Amino acid sequence: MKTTTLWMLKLSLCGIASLAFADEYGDYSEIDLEKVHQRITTLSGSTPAQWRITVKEDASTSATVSWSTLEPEGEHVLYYGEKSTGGDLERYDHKQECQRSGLYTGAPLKDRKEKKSGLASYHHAALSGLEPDTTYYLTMVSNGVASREFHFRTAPAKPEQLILIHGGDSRSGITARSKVNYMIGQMVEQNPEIWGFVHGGDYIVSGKSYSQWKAWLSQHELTTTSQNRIIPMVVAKGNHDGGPLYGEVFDFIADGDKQVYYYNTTFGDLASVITLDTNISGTGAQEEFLKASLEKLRPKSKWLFTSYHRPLYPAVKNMPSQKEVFVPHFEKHNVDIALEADGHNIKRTVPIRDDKKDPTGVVYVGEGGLGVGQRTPKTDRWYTDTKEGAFIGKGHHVMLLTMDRDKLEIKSIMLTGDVVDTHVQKVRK
Amino acid sequence: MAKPILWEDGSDLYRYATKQVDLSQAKEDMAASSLEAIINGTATATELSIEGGRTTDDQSRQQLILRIDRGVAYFLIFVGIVALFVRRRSLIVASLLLIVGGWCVADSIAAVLNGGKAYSGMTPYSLAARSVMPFLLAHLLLFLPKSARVKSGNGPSTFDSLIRNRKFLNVFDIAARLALASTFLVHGYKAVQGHYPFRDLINLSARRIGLEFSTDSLLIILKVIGYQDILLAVFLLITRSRFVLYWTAIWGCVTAFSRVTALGFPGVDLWLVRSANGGLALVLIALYWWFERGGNELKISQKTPMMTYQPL
Repeated sequence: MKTTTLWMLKLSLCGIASLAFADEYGDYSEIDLEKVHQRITTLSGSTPAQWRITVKEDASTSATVSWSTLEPEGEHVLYYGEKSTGGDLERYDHKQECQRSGLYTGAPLKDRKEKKSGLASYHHAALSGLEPDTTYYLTMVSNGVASREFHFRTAPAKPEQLILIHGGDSRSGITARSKVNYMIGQMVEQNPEIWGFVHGGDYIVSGKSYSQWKAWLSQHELTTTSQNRIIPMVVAKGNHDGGPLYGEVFDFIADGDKQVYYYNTTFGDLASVITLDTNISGTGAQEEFLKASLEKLRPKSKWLFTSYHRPLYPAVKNMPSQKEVFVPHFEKHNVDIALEADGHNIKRTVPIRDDKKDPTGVVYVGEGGLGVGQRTPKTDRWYTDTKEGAFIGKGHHVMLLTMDRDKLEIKSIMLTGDVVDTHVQKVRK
Repeated sequence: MAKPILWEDGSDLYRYATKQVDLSQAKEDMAASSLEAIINGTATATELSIEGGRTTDDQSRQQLILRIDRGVAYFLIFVGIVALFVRRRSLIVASLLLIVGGWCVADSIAAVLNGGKAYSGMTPYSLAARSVMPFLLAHLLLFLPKSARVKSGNGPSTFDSLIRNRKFLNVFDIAARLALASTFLVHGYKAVQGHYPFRDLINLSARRIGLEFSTDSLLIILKVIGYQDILLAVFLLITRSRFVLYWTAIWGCVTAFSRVTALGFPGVDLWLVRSANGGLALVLIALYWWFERGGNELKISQKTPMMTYQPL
């Protein structure tokens, strides 16, 4: 009798658990895109559209708010403050004129679509000195035309918990991209603790095509919640993101005669993300930057992430030359998780040190499924051997990274809402 | 010559074909124009829903393409091995080599179409040496006598008789020089521009002997290397100097092997696939050597008719 009762109890607990699991994330694979696309702002006149927020420094005190307008004329100003004014510009505490505005660089003239649609303008308002752990309300104004009021949150100065979404490769699969973006917005709506979105690169197929960026930028609006919350992005450059548009979209400012796309984003003493650029040499200036960043950030970050496009331990492709450069530094400074993209599949390696499975090693996760068609991961690679505890799969997905001061959990969540992989690791001692 | 694509991430043709399947499933063009209309505020109800969007993955077509690519990989390895042992005219092997050459050219064109890599538009030119190699080998096989054996000891061999054919030698020489010049010219241009994988190759190789270069030094080294590559390409086109061929052979082998010095074992396939860069110059050197030797033997044979070449 006792055993039967125990089994019944166990079964009902399992039932409750599975129900909770199934309801955690919705199925967005078959959503009605007509309704979803009605949320996209028409790019016309001076109406601010295609908004996005990027963070390239301290996530608790800085952010860059960017948007596009079809017409370039007039003043482009961001009104913001800690209190919602419902769009009443007079009542905002702060006002920031865009430091950088300009026409998006067009594709070659032979691209007839470019001529037909015309080129829009970008506007970047870089904010600093923000208050940590604060919700900022903002309205973008271009040539006297105001957007609706949005809001975003700065990270706490000493966060106890941080939740990030990671994904990559939204470069093709336009309908899937809309669905995944909408799913991200819904995830944030359901779990407001999600702070931001780490994109591993390859936003569009041809980085030099404004018409492709235009589509991506408008579709990115779908990550905004129905309460108008924008989640900040930490962006990495992919191999398809060549040309000047990447810098114009995400406000990368040239350092002397060169534009660099590697930088650090910090979340107090809880986490840091070192974003690298796998489109340039791993050695030289980038290696110096990596070494300096690791030396500075490792001692004061509970969780240390690196984010870049091309996988160093790939599930489909071959290893890039940067592997020989980056990996020794990752291992020397005990990077916790390397966020990767480019391979178009789902991957979590075993922890790796000295090219061997080692519980003290670095775990490499990725490899991109924000819309792009998926490839079948290879099953003959030791570091993705599922018998050794690794995971490989395919399908449109995002990864949810939830961390506190003791542990980190990474969930691979499919467009259908299924959680196909959950990885938990304890903080290093 | 067989590209070890089994070790890599599939050929560019494979990537191009799978991308086409992807796009056709997603009806990307239709989706793109619908989205354009939505953004411009001119969308109809049908366009708003982006009809025809992909909802499920068509695994079977993608799998079929992958299997074909793997099959091609085995085929390339097979032809590569067979070509090593063929010593006489063989229409079959020559045809196989022509297919391999055609595949190499198609793959480099697919790399252009795929894009996403630095200088991908120049791929057919930078890979010219390895693409031309199978065609030249096929050309050589077609010119071999129908039934002959490589003679050991005194007397003219199959190759001796072959290289006496001026027409053959000229075609071979011009095609090989054009291909080599194209390869070195593009590599030289990339080096002058400071192409990042080259920087890593130099730095990672140098580290193995305890050297480290700053970015500025690397860029200077790459500029020097790049300009000498371009110079080499020009010399290949305007002179028939034996010295230039030796220079090409050594430099081609060194640069190809730098993949191994930089990356270790994972660079072995990258080295092998570049063997034509130095190998093609070596073949030219060998042909000239045979040509000269053949000429000498021809003189001898005139004096001693017993030593003239006789097909079996």
